[in-house]
Amino acid sequence: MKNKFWLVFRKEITTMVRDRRLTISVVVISLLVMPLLMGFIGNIDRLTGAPDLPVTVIVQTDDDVILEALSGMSEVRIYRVGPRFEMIDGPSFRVVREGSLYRIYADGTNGQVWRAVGELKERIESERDRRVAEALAARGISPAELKPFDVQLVDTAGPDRRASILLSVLIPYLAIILLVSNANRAMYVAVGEKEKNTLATLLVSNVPRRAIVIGKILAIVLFSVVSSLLLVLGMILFANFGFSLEGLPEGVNYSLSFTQVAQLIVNLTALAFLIASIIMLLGTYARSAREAGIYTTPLLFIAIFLAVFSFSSTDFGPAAYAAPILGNALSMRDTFLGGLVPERLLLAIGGNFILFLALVAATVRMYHREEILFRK
Amino acid sequence: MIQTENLRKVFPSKKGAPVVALDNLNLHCADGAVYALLGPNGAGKTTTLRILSTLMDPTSGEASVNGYSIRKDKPAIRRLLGVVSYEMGVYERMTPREIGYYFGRLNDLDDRDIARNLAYIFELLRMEDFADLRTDTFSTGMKQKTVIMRALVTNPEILLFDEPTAGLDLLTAKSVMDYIRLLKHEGKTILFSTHILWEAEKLADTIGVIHRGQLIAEGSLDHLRAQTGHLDIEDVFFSLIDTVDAE
Repeated sequence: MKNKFWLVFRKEITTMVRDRRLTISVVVISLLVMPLLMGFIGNIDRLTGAPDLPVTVIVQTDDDVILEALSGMSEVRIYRVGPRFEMIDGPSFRVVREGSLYRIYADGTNGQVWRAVGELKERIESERDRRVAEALAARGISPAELKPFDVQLVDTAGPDRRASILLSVLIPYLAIILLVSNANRAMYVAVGEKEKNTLATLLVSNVPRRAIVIGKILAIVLFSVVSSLLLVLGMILFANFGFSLEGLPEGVNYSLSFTQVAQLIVNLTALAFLIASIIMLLGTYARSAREAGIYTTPLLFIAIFLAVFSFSSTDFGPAAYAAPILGNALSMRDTFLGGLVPERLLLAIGGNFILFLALVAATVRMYHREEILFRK
Repeated sequence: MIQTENLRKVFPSKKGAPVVALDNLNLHCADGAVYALLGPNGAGKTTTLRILSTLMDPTSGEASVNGYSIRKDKPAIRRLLGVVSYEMGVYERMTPREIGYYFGRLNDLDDRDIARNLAYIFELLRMEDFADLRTDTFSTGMKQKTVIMRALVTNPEILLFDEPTAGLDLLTAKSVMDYIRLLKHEGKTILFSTHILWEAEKLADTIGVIHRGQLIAEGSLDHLRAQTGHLDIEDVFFSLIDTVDAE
């Protein structure tokens, strides 16, 4: 085979790089659009610039506990109503006293309302504790006897740790989807020879079919790995330079160690080999890029489904890492969390590699079948 | 020399009976000769050339190119051949020179030989002006020249042309015929398929008439004239076809 796969690879890369629309769109989408999009989605409330309206607290009584608690709260306004239900514009919640129980009805999906509810609850509990303390004191009992100890939760995770948790969820998901979709955009490498009627010339040249398949797969691999790494780079840059994502603490200084970068490259490359071999197989079978697109759409859905598992913090056990795409998603998640076990990375690579070899063998076989190559 | 012996190709069909594209085809093209495979659409010309160029395997029968079997010696045959087809396209984001180097290297030529071959071909085909321009802006004629250049870059002994003028305007078609004539003078063995009678008349040393997958006549134009009793090639052709159809 000598270096003929290398000649095919170089030719494919050259033609891809010369496709300006493809190159620019991949660089811009990976490096700018995706991180910007995620940043925008994460900060949509802040970026749209609409000031928060005061939260309306609907109360039915002149209960002194509620009124006292609310009086110290800013950005709330009190709205007294009768027992009848009334519609209120803007964010609001309702407080009802039922005997000794204060029941607060609020929309938990509204962050602003939920924060106000939390503050009110704390204030009511504080007032309760103050009254209990007073009553105990009147009887000569120290409040400490009623409450001999307390519990407080302290979050030891620093901003960098919180950043890594968030990035460990987002980046694998986006990187896998982008890798699959970019490999799909390189479909032209696989199907273009048929579509542009250059395949016959290539086949009558003195080049083994295996070299053609491998050269083309390598070109798709390089293209998709580079685009995915650009995405990772873009996300980290955005996380570090002030355009923080929702939930990402301010002033985060997130960077990857050499080992993490190496793990990412190895992981993405292994995945890229697998995806490229699938693209090559489907592209070889298809008569046109349009037909190939029909076959690859389910692939994207499968990738999205499996990549979602990177959102989970569950340990799925070593076997899950051997499953293609799923193993890559889990390994990437572990890389960002700093806890990737090398054996599990090897399992992920091994799972991809076995399937890759099978797909390459199938594609080479297809390259020897005239009814597929010259399918009308 | 190109020779086929009882060459048969049957394509399976999902909808009905298998399609017999070639039915015991026997042809003989001598060294240094120009052989025109003449036949109507669907006669089996393209299938014959695809088998001879190792793109397809025959269902049965045998064929050889310079003594090499198309079944057993495919790499050896590919080294001998240059193939041009009306269906062939060119790489759009490459220049003719880059395409020439690409196929030259794929066929084991070193860069010095490729450069020398390309210089000669560019002059022969008058391609110097656009040898370093990308083909995506080319006219049909320029693309056809690029396809011919690609077939010639390895300086093959044998050239197969599958309907090389199909879809071309008269001027471009004439220039392609002129190139084939030039290549004939260089001593290349050329087998070309066509359904255009005057192309066969002007260029071919030997004409093979193919119809329904069978070679129904083979020989020089004078031989075919004597065989049918007609002088005009059109009359010769239809006489042969009608005789087979009548049977």
